[in-house]
Amino acid sequence: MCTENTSFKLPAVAASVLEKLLPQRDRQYILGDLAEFYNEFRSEKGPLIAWFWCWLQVFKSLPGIIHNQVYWKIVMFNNYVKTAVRNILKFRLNNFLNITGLSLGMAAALLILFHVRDELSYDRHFSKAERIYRITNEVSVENNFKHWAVVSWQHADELQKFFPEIEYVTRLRVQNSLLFTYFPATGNPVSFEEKNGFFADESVIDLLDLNFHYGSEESALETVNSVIVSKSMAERYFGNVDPVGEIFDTETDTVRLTVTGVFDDIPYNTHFKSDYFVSMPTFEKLLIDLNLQQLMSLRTWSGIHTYVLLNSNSNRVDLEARMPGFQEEYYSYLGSPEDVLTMNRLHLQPLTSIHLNSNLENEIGQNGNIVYIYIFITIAMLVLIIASVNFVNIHTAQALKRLKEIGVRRLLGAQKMQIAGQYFGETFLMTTFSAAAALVIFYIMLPLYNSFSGKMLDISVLFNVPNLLLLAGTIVLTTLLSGTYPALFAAGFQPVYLLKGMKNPSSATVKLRKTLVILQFALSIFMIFSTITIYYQMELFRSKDLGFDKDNIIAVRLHSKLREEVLNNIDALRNELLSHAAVIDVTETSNLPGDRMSVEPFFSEAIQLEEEQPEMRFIRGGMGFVNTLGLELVAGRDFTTWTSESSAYLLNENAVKALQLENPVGIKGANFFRIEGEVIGVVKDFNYATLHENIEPLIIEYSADPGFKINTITYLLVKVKGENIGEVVDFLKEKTAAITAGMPMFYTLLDENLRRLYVSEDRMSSIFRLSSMLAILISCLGLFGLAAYSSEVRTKELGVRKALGASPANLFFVLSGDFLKWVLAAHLAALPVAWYVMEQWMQNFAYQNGISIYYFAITVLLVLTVSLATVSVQSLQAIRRSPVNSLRYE
Amino acid sequence: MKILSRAEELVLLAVWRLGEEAYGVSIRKLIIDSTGTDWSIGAVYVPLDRLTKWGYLEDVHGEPTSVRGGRSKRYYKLTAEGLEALEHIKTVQQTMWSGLPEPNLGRG
Repeated sequence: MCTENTSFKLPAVAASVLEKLLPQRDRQYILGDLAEFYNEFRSEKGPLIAWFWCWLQVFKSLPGIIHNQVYWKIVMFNNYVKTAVRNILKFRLNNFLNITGLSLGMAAALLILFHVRDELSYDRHFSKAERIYRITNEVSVENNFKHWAVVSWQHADELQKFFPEIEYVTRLRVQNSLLFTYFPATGNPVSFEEKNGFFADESVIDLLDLNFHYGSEESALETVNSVIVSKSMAERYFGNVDPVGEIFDTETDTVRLTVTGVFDDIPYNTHFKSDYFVSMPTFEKLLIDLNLQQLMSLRTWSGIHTYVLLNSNSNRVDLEARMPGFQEEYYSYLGSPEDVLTMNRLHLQPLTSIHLNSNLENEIGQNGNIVYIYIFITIAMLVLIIASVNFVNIHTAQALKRLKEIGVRRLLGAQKMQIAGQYFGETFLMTTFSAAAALVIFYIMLPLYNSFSGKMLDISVLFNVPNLLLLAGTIVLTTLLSGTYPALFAAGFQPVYLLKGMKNPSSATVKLRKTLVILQFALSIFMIFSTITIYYQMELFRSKDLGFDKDNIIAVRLHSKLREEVLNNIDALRNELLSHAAVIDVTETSNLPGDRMSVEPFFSEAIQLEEEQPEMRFIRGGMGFVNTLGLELVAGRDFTTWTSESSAYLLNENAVKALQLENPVGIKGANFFRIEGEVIGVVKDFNYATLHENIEPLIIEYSADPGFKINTITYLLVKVKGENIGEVVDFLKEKTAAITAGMPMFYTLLDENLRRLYVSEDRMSSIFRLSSMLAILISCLGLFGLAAYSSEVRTKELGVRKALGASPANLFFVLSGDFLKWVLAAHLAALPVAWYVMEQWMQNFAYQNGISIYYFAITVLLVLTVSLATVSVQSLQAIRRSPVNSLRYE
Repeated sequence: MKILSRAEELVLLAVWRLGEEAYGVSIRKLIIDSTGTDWSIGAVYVPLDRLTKWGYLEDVHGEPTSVRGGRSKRYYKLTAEGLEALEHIKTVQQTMWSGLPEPNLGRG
């Protein structure tokens, strides 16, 4: 077969290719076989054919060889995993608890971090977001300071003229709650209360990247009475057809809007929540019709949200620095330049900072708060740390149980690295599994989270690069935190000691463990204390007597025909409603408590103030206002009978103080619209706005002027007996249906409306509550594991003690004493810090609950009880074991 | 007991038949002659590798020769487990082939 004298060498390249692919141990044998065949071929068929044949062999063998390599690697990997899993299952309960703790921690952290990312993303998706700024105005007049998010009608144009860097300006006028009705050719009218919309300049289309589905962007907001609507809004009224050209009726009969375009919905993560934009000329016409056109030339009117787009090479700081120049030029009439500058200071507020950092007067809507974001991030970190720390602790304790196994393997020649590697691999498997479980938990919790936060995150939120990185980062971090120490720790032991079974850890280990447990519990205690404090502060809001009756009051929205009918026949209607057994009282109002009330001046000769008049909040009300809302009169009387054509005013106590009026009742005055009136009473201060702030001066105006009434009154308030709310609502629906020709009745309950104000706090409170429960749960899981391990390790010691006559109580203290000491130490560390932080947080509120000693007591009691219970379970079990059993294995 | 694939079975039988002379080249030649298909070097090597790892074959170190460029040979021997596996696959074959009913062929 092989001849000695003909021995050609294999083609070098082909041979080296095959060499690289084959495993070391097989190389020479296979290449040798190849060489034999090659030689035969070469002798018989010549060098060329042989060369081709050789390469052919290489190509034909390639796939098979590679496949084989992969196959064996997979087999090995499988074995490795099988061993790891078997090892993990050896201590089923403990590992299960550990993994659970870690997954919960990771899921919570994930949820919170995604929430934070979402909050931080507000307004950033607009293509020009970086260059968009809102003009804000700091007005400080003597004792009065207000930072307004709105400016006058003229600011937009004037700013554009003065600053060449401004590409364009966009004015927006907020339109709260407007009723839209569409009367189709056939069928019933469709009516909805649209809560989010604006009057806007044409440039809004470019500013907000509005993408038109129907209609043309060119002239959509050019003409008067034009409106563009969002796709969802269009669908509500028109279904899926092109609605351009269709007409909406609104609450005001003179305003009928023609649809000129439909745009894709604006993403929810923006402070511009809007379903429609009405052309600015419409607003101008409206002002003229209402005889309010002077507002357009009033430089001190704060009513227009003004946004500017700067060109790319301009700088906000630079522009702000030149603002004084602007103010001097246009506001010189207000006084000397210094006066002008101290009274008004204009700022450019970056668009992206509005959602989390802006809480000015007359914001478009409720904004978030950057402070809460920091708090949430901290909580997420805390929970994750607690979970990881826990994992490390228990895992290292586990390692000690497997000392014998490790010792044997080391003796049999396993390298330290190998053992560490295997241990690390097991840890990694556990953390990865925890991460997978965390993802599942996250997925399950998402709908709950969405309904709770009002967002619309869905699972696809995970699948973009930054989020995936965040996720991977969390996993890696946790694995490193939890896996490194146990792996190195396990591999670091000397074999002799391992075999001897010395399970007692070194003092360094004990110290570390102690620190970790104390840390865990300290963090949990901090969270529990904070939760309790926050909870009671929230309760204060919920239950605090606001100074008026908020329960059982139905607020019916008055619009167009309904408004006219009701207000024109208010007396008759009132009597009719009052005749209903369940109705206690009825009144009209311009705003609901909780809504923003307009700020207007009050003019009166009786007011002798040295400084500028403080800002007054105004609300318009009807007969029986005081009684319906359950306000307390401290002087004068309610609006009950009033025959004069002028207005009647009720002041609250703070208004009287602010205006420095000695005897307010009987004083004559006039409002912003120069309608004259007389003060007929004073009411005790009541919380008509958020409890975040002190009660501002308030004037309640009753006007008999029908024109004024129709322009200001928007709600009918009906106070009913609690049990009969449903009944009365139905009754009201009937009555209003007759007038509105079958349109649904738009109404709300007063207390529901108020709850809106505290949404942020409510959410934070809930998140805190959940997180603390989680934190303490995880900490206890940890404690449980440790106690179990500890009692096992000390079985011998226990046996000896028992044999020497120790009582169960003694043994209990011996076993649990350490742990309880650690938990107490955690309290000492955490409570002072928690107290300080909560004090700081409370400063946010005008009405503070204060931190009572009870909070400390509850926290300590709660934590001690839970940890005691946890530790006891293990300790009692250990104590009951007979000494004979434990001493046997000597 | 593993069910051997066709290739693995053929390789085992070849090793059995070749006895003391069973190594890469001879095995491949025998298979090419017996089956009439031109198996590549890899096609012989992969089954040999697996059968060895499963313990159905044992490898024995052989002497280098110059025609192999000075590289050693590796001889293969059938093990008891290997024989068992062959017998098993034979039984499986026989069981599956025996007592078959009239075939119901489609697409005449």
